[in-house]
Amino acid sequence: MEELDQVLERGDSVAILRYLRHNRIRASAEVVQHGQGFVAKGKGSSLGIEAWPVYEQVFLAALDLGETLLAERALGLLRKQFPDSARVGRLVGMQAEAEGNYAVAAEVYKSLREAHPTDPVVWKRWVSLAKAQGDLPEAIKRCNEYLKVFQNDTSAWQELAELYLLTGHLGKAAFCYEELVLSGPSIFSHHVALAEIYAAMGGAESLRLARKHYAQSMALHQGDDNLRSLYGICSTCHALARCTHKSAHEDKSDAAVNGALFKLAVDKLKSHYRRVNPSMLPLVEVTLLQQAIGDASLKK
Amino acid sequence: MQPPTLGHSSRDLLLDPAIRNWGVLPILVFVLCINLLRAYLTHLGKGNKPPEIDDLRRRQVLARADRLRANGNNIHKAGFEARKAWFVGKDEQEGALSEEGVPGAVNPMSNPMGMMEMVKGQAYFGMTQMGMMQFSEMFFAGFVLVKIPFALTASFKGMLQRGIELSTLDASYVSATSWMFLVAFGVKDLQRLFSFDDGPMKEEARVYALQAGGVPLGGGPPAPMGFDCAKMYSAAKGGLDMTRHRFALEDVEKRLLGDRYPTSLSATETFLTMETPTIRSSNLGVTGPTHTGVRHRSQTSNAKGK
Repeated sequence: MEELDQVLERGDSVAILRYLRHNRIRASAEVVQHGQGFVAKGKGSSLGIEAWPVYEQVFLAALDLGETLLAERALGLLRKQFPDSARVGRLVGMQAEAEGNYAVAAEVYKSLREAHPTDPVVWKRWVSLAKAQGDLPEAIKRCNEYLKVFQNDTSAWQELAELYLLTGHLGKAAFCYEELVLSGPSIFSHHVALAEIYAAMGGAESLRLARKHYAQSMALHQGDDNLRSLYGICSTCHALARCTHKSAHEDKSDAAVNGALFKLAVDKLKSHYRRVNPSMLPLVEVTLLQQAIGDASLKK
Repeated sequence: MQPPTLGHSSRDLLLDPAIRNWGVLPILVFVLCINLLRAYLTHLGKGNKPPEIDDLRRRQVLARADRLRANGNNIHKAGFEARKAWFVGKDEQEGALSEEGVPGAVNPMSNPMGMMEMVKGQAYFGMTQMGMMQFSEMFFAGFVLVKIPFALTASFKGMLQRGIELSTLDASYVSATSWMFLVAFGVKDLQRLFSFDDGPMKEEARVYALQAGGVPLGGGPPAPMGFDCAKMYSAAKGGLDMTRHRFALEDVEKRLLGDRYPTSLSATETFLTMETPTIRSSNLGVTGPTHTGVRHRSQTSNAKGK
C-alpha cells in the first residue's frame, strides 16, 4: 500500500485523485487543486470513463471549500450525462443544502426517496438534512426509521448514538453503542464509547459495567491511542469507590478489585508519560494523586 | 521389445507450427472475445430491479438476530435479554421473528420476472455456444491442434478428441473442438483481466455500496434460489431462544490484572459466599480467585433481578 505522501510527491493528478477516492480521504483542498483542471476542460479531458467519478469527487470537495462555481460546473457535467441517476440526484440535493436551500433539498430528497425507496444513501441524506437544519428530534426520528430497515448499518447506529448524546438521552445512546459492540466485539473504541456512556449514567451498577468495558478495551488494545480507557478506568474506579463506600452492602472484594484496577491504570499512565512525554508527567501525577487522596479519605 | 504404442504414435504425428499460428491461437482469441461478448450481453440484459424493501428488512433482521446470538455475551445481561425478547417475543407478545406473512421458499416458476432473467441468461449462453460450435466446425473440422506433453490413458479420448473418431490416435492429441471447449471453460480467470467485472469502475461501485452500510446496491441478487425466509426465521428464532447469556466481560478485570488480582478473602466475603449454594466448592479446596468469581456472578445476577 502506497502512502499518501509518495503519491502526492509524484504529482500525477489522476493517480492522486484515484488514491484519495479509493481510500476515502477527505482532502478537499488537494482534490480541488488537482481536479479543477479536468472539470474546466469538461469533455476534452483525457480521463475517459474515469471522468465521472472525478467530477463527483471534485464537486463534493468544491462544496467543502465553498467554491460554488466549480461545484456548479462539475454538477452540470454530471447532470447532462446522467439525467435520471439517483446518485447525481443526491448531489443536486447536496448543492441545495450547501446553499442553504433546505426546502429545495427536502423536495429533491423526497422525490428521490419515492423513486428509490431502498437506496440507503438517499435515506442518510434525508437524516443529515434534518441534522443540518438543527432539528435533532426529527433527525433521530428519521434515523430510527432508517434503522428499522437497515438494522445492520453500524455507521447509522453510531450516528443515532451521537444524536441521542446531543439530546441527552444517555440510555438510548448506550443501547446504540451496545449494538455497535455486538457488531464488532473486538473493536476497542466501541467498548470505550459504551463505557463512557455507562460512566456518565452513574450508579454502582452502571459504573461497574463501565469499568468492565474499559477493562475489555484495555485487554483488546494496549497502545498509545488507548489512553482514554486508562483515564476512564481511573475516573470510574474513583466514582465507584465514592458511590459504594457508604452503602450497606459494600462489596469488599469488588472494592479490592477496584483499587487494584485503579493502581494498574495509574501505573500504566505514569509509565506511558515517562516514556512519551516526561514534561507532562508531574501534571498527570498531581491529577491522579488528587483522585487517590480523595479515595483514601473516603475510605476512612 | 516393441516400444509402447504411446511413444510410437507420438513420434508419428508431427504438428505443423502453422497450426499453432492459424489454429490454436485464433481459437483462443475467438473464445475470449465470445466470452467477453457474452458477459456484456448478460450485463445489458440484466434488469436493474432494486430489491423489495420488505425483503431487505427481513434479511437484515435475520443477520442481526444471528449477530446477537454470536456476540450477545459481550453486552450485559439486561441488554441481551431485552434484545432477545424483541426478537423471539416474551409473555405472549410476538417478537420480530414471529412476523406474519413471511414468504416461504420462492418457487422460481411463480416469479415470471425471475424466469425471464434465467431464460435470458440461458439464451445468451446457448447462442454464443452455438456460434462457437459453428465456427469450429466450419474452419477446423478434424484438425489436431495440440499435443499434451505427457501420456494419457485412452479414456481421455472422449474429452480431448471430440470430432475425431480415430482409434489409433494417441490420447494426448487434442482436437479443435475439444481445444475450444477447454479454452471456453478454462479462461475465466484470464477473462477477468479484460472484463469490466473487476475493473476500477466496479471496484468503485463496490466501495460505494459498502459505504452505504454494507448493503450491496441493486447488484445483489434479489433472493437466491430456494431462499426460504419463513424457515430461516423459525431457525433463527429457535437458535436465539436456546442461547443462554454468559457475560464475557465477567472476569475481564481478572484477566487484565493478572497477578495483581486481589486474592485474599476477608471475613465478610466468606460470609457472603456462604449464602450461595456453591459453598460446597470451598470444601473441595478451590482457591480464592474462583470463589470471588462465583460469588461475583451470583451477586450480579441478583442485582439484575431487582
